[in-house]
Amino acid sequence: MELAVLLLTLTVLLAIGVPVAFALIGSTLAAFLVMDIPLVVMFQRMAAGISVFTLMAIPFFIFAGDLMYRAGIAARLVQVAEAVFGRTRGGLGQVNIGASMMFGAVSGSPIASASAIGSTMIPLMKEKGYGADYAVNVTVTAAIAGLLIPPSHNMIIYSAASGMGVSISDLFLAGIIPGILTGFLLSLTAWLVAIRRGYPKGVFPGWRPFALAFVAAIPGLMTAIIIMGGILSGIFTPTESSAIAVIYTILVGTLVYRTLGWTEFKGAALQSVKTAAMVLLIIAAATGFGFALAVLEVPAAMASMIGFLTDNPIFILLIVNVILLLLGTFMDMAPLIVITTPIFLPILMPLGIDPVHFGIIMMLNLGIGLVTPPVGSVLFVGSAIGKIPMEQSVRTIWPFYLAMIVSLMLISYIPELSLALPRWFA
Amino acid sequence: MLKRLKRINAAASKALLDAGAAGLVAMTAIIGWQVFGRYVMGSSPSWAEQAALTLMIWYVFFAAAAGVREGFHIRVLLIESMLAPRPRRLMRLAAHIVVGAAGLAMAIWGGELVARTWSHVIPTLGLPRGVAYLALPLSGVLIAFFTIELIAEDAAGEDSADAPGGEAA
Repeated sequence: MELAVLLLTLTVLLAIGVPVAFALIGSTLAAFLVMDIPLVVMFQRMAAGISVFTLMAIPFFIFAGDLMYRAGIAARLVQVAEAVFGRTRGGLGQVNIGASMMFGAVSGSPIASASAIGSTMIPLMKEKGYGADYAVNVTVTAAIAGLLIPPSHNMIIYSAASGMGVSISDLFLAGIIPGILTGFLLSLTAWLVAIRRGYPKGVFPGWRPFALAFVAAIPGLMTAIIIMGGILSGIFTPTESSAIAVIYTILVGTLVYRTLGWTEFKGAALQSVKTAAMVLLIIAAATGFGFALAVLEVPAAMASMIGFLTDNPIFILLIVNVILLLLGTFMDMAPLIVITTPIFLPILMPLGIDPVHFGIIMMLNLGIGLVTPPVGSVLFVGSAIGKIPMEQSVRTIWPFYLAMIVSLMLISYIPELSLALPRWFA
Repeated sequence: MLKRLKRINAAASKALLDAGAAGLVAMTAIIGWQVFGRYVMGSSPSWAEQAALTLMIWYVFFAAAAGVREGFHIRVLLIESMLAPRPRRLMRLAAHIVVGAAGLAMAIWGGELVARTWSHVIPTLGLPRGVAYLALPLSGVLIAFFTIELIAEDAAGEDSADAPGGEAA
């Protein structure tokens, strides 16, 4: 009964267009009223949910990503990718994916990636005769591959939500191979679609332009080495690395590239505060909502329900994946990580599934939700840049969904893809 | 009357976002200083992390309040986009009332939280934990206040400030 109040109120509030954070707050308060829990508990949970040191990495990574875009680092990565992949059939699609993967290695936010690479690549692709739908599809799905490549602020949310301090550096390392695998499958898909549509081949610009582009991009690419190197060697924590990434980007933008002026800096700070406030308010609200679920013993009920269906780990992982994919279509990534991690992790760990491995599964799974309607923030950003309605890009996105699902299955059932690197570095 | 409220709110939400941006920059400087202090000065300030976190809680809740007026909070537009203008306006009215009520609740019970945590002192800062949490009730008041404008616009049949494609979009 109380659970029905919670879930029904949430559904109704979301449906009538209440912002996700406020729908979570409203439905939890409604459930607390029925359950006779003092309402102050909701705000105490929200305050506790946001008072987590590691979460400070979220505004930093968002800020760094925005600065990289405005300082022209993203555009320089595109030039490198163009020199490397431009020759293939539908070359700009490959360039887009390559640039997104590189950007994923310097930025921790898929929205930053889609807007940074998208605003360079999508107009260019449209101009060269590629379909706007294709340009958008490639951009948004490649941003999801980039999400797996460290750094990643969503992995930090997962680490906080696990309640057992799953190592952020292990998660970062674990994402590398799955990220490259997903990028490879997407690039294969983009190539096949390009052949079908008869998209043009680019020309190789020659070694000299390639070398020049690469040298120009080195200061930007160094961010990846500073972040991962700093974390792995223990010079700084993941949170500190994200602040260092901001400071480094400011230095590169002002001293090396000289593209980052006061206007760009102020614009980036303002935009980042908006995005960070939106994401963190949702995380705070989701913490309260998750508490209501815990009081209602939903995690235990879910465990016994799944246990009733099967005790085969392969099927259980499949069921969890399907549930997360469904939830991901109409909820954003951050609240789902906060709400579902404490539900599924206790079910999966006794089956011998490593929490780091499950973290990577969850990243890709919920990442797919970022590019599916009705709620898909990355798809939304990409379509806005491509100036086409979301429905139009979704009509032809199926091959890319398929590629990501194949990757999700491989990552789910081959734990070594995720766990080999963290073990090697341990 | 509504025009005047709009002007005040526009200025207020801009001020909140500007302050938030300054907070983000300050927070970057603090954590940067912490790393710099550890390696260059040989010791890092003990207050740094807690101060940065408190700053973050403040700017997140203030910018989130501004976000109610500017309409940048993520929400589901599926049903809204399928409706005719009149029912759509009614639905937006209902949604804005819910947001306003949530803001009011945050003001009241967030205030209770502040009162309860005022005696807990954060050791590294020497400040009550309630100071960090004060952002919740203040943000709640602001949210409730901003929704008055949005609700008034819905009732008057205008496109509200937070409408997609509206003046603030």
